[in-house]
Amino acid sequence: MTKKNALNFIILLTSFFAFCQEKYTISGTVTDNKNKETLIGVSIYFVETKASTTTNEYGFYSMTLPEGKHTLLISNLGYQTTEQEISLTQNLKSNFSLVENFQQLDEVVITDNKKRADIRKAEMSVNKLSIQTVKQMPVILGEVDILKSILNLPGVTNAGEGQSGFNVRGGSADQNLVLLDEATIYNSSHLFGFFSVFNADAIKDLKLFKGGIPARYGGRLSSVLDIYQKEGNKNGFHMNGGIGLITSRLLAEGPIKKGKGSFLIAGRGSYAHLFLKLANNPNSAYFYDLNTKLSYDLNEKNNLYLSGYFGRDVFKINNSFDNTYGNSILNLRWNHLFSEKLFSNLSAIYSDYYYGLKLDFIGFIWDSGIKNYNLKYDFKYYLSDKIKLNYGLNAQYYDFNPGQIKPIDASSSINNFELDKKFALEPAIYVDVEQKIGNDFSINYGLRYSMFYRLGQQNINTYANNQPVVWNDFFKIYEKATPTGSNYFGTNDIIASFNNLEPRVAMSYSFNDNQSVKASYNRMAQYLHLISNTQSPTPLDIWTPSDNFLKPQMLDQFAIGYFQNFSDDKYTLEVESFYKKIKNRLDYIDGADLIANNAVEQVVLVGNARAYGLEILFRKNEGKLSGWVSYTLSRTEQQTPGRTAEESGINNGNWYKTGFDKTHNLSIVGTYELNKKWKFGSIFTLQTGQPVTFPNGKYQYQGIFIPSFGLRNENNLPLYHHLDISATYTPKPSKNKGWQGEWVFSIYNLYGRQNAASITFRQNVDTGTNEALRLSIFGVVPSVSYNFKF
Amino acid sequence: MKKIATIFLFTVLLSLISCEEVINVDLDTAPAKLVIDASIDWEKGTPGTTQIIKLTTTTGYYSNVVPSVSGATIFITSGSDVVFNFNEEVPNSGLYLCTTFAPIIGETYTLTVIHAGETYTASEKMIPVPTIINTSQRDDAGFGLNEIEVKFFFQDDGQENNSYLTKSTTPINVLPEYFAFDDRYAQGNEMFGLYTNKDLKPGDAIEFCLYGISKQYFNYMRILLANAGTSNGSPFQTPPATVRGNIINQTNESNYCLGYFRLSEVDKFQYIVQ
Repeated sequence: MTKKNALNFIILLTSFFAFCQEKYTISGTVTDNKNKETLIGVSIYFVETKASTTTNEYGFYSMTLPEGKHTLLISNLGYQTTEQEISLTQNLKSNFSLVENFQQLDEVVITDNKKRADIRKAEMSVNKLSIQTVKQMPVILGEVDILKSILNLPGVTNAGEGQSGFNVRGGSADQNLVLLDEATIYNSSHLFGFFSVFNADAIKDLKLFKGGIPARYGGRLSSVLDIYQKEGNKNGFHMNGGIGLITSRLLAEGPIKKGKGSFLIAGRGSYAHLFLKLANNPNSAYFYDLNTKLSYDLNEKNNLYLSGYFGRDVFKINNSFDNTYGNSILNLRWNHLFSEKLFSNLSAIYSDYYYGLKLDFIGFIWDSGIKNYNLKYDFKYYLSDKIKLNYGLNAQYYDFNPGQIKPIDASSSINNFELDKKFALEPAIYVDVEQKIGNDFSINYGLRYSMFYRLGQQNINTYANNQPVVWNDFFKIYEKATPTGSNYFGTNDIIASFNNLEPRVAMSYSFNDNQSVKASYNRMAQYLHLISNTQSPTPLDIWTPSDNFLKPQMLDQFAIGYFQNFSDDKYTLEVESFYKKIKNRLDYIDGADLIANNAVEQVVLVGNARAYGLEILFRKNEGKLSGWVSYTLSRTEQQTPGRTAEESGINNGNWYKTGFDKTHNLSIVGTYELNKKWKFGSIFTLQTGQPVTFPNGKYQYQGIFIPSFGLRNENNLPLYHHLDISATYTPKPSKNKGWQGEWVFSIYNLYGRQNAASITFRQNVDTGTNEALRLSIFGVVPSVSYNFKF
Repeated sequence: MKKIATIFLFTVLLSLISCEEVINVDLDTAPAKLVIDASIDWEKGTPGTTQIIKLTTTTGYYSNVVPSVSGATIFITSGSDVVFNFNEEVPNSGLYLCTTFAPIIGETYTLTVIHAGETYTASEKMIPVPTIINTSQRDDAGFGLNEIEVKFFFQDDGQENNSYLTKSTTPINVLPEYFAFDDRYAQGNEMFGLYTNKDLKPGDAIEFCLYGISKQYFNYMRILLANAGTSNGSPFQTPPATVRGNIINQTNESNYCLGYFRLSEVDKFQYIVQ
């Protein structure tokens, strides 16, 4: 659908509904009463009409209702529900403030902590975690970690302990769209995955979409992790921070012009390297990050936001090895209210990822990265109490630096070498409709039209039969083809272009207030590939755009679910089943060299992937003991068949389990509030061991033993499980002003399970015999950290 | 390079908290396959007439015995149709010897092995190698700045793409150490092979061999050495696959053998650590 058609469609809908009875619109924002931070996803329920809405990413809501008296129930996770009566005789601007639950813990038992499943909403396969929940979960070395927390949700795993990235419903790690204030984060890990780049102190809210993904998101197949930074306290200047074993954090926030604007600046850094320095050790390994946000209300209809993030990991070993990498983002946003019903946001986003490496002993400097410019205009049109429209457009421009090598100095034996820079443009338009039909049926339907233009300037190789990988039938192996020539494309010449229609639909039917069934379908296109033949991403992995050889990855996902609240919302049950099919998944020929390869097309083959599974999430929402049990049964496979009858394909063309397949995945998360001073948290995790390929024999060649292998990933590492506990001690819980501190004690892997991160097979260099070696990363890891605010 | 960098860092990082332990893992054993180690090495300054081809089979991963294969007929035919026969001089040794081989740089040779009624053949060119012209030693390598590192320099031919294999043998290591690389980033430059070991000490002898190899063999060795390395099953590794060489079973294609037929000129350098 073209943009013009889309607009006509919207106008048509608008005029169709405009002739109904006399109605007025109530709109406004919902904030936290203490710091005036806007709240996302607050549910507003209109008792008389049974209509409901939620606040958007900027805390804005709008609802059009018949003239008269209405009772509003305003509720949000972690906040007390507020009841408000209004009389609607004209368009009304009404802002609300909510009070956090724990502020009055002693007087009331929490009863309104609405974590219950959104029974009537069509949205499914979405998990929200409040930052309070994240902070109460026990973690390795006391580092609160958003990415580690989401691993306890159904359908989310990662390749293993201490590994970066995460896998959603069997999707690979590069299929997750990770957004920080709408800006794409290309590498979400510090220290190779031990910690994430998100400083939980600066984060307001996060939402993970695993399926039924709305049309406003695109560009990745498997999930969207949407993370929002805090805006900063509009009421007064405050600071908070923490001192931990690995990092220390400090955050400052306050008003710019009281009530009008606010700022937030947060920094975090590790400091183990300082001890190395003290010990005169020349090696160094550290990371740091900086989050900033400015918000300013120009007037009732216009708000400005500026978000920034800058993070780096640095490793130095003597003077011989120097490695730096990290993300930076900058995002300027303008919220504008065209009317009570039409909300808009314009974003200009810059995001980049840099990787630099200096190897003195080989004598070179390497750097690579990706730069991304994104212009985005989104509209939300609150048409009526039954229909809400989201529509918008965006265009992203990419500048890829696949890598360049420079000699360190004149004595180096390395020549200057620069891989071709790559450029691409990815525009998209979308429209999404949220519609209620009657009282029991809701449907969200949308369409995204995405386009991708791979741009010059570059020479593109040509190959015989257009095949950059050839099958050597003599040796029975795949080999790089020799280019037959090349075509030159000038600046902004189109090398290849793609376009895809991506329909999305989600619907729910509720039997009553407590029970519903939902179903969804989504098609997604992904035009970027992370060139990586390892099981989890490494910082050096390179993003590369689709071109005439690498086609865009395409996904179709179906999901169905059953949702129920029990015992007056005390418990909730969510059961979902999904099936997904992925086309054009890259696989790598044996011995593929991926780094500093100027013609990646010569080492990749195109295959398929599929995943299916059952997810069960059972939650206890209230009381002193709360938490959840999450269980996923799933299978994730990929297949790269031969292109002709002679070719073997990868793994003889058979389906094989991906490296992150986990048949069983169980998480039990609990928190217990003993009293005002003591809170306890616990997590038990149990998973099928990671699929691996063990040798099925060995042979001697040139004096060394070489293991021989059968089919891929037919073996598994041993069962993976551990139990973690934490305790939070607040010495003066009733203190609301001045210095407030808390201690967090935690023990990771309480019973000291030696989980295998890998099992390697080697010939012992001393005895010459073969042996299996298990690497376990974490034994029992106790830690303590101190958090404060004032 | 990616692997070097990541494994390198991962190791540094993990050494602080991780724990390595030798464990028992039950492994299946696939049916035995024939392994042909036909490496014709012509050391500079020698006639290169004596050559050995070794026939073995695969065996269980933990087995300490390498089963040898006897009774095979083996010969190499030169480009000018000269036939060199390889005979098993010591019965049941699996070692087939030829004392009349005549190596010629750039010549294409064909290997024929007949065993158990099946015929295996391979063709390969003899690849030249430059001379090791210089060495250097430093004593402040490694993380602790106290490891000895020795470099062996040679001049790459800028007129063609070359691939190299190095083999370092020392008394401190029962296994030879191999490394395969090419001149991709150093075309026409003075290049070096490198040996370092934390246990290396003054007086130790390093026998360093530089082999000229074909591009096909370079690709083969890279995968083979990765498989032989200690990183199988590590998160930074692709799922390993058995690598097939250039020797083809002409009788029954699916019953393929392992190993390779290579012909290399070799420059050997003995270095005593200072």
